Amino acid sequence: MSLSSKWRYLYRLIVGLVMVIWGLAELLLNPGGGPAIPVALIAAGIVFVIAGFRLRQEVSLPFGGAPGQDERTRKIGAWGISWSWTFTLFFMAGLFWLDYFRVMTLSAEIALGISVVFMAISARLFQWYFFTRGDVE
Amino acid sequence: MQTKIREYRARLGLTQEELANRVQVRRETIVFLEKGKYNPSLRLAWAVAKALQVKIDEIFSFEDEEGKG
Repeated sequence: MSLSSKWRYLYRLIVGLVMVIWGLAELLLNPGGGPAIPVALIAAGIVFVIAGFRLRQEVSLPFGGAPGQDERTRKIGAWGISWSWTFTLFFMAGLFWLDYFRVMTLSAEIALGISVVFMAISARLFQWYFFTRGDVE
Repeated sequence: MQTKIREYRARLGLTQEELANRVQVRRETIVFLEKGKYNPSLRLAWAVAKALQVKIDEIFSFEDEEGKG
């Protein structure tokens, strides 16, 4: 296992754990602050922790030598994030119009929190979809 | 895209994992390459051809919309 691979999964685990702990601390120590920020932090933290564990499994494969990432996985990763960004833009536009026509009223905090969670989850979903297809084209 | 990677890999007695290690990609990438579902970069195509000891055009072939190779 190369040092760079080790650091890649370690940084994801550490960042994820910090986000989860920060979210839990917000919930416990600042109960009047609303749920949006803690929920967004905890959800994003869990995504980072899962990504870290998956990367750790990949770089510890028994046959060794093969990298955790290659040109195909990097391409799929970038496309997944790109599609997620585009969908989140439409999602945020939808939230704006729902609020504008008073279908549902959202505070800026909650709208941001929902958007962050939507972006993180949709990125993973798009990446998973492209991985099952093998390529992005 | 059609490939003959599986055929040439079998001739050399290489497993998918061994070929993946030689060209420094994940085994899944070799699987999708063999199925013709992944269009590799020129660098990867060259590395695969080198690992299989053949020229690129011997293992990769493309057909245009009219079916002419």
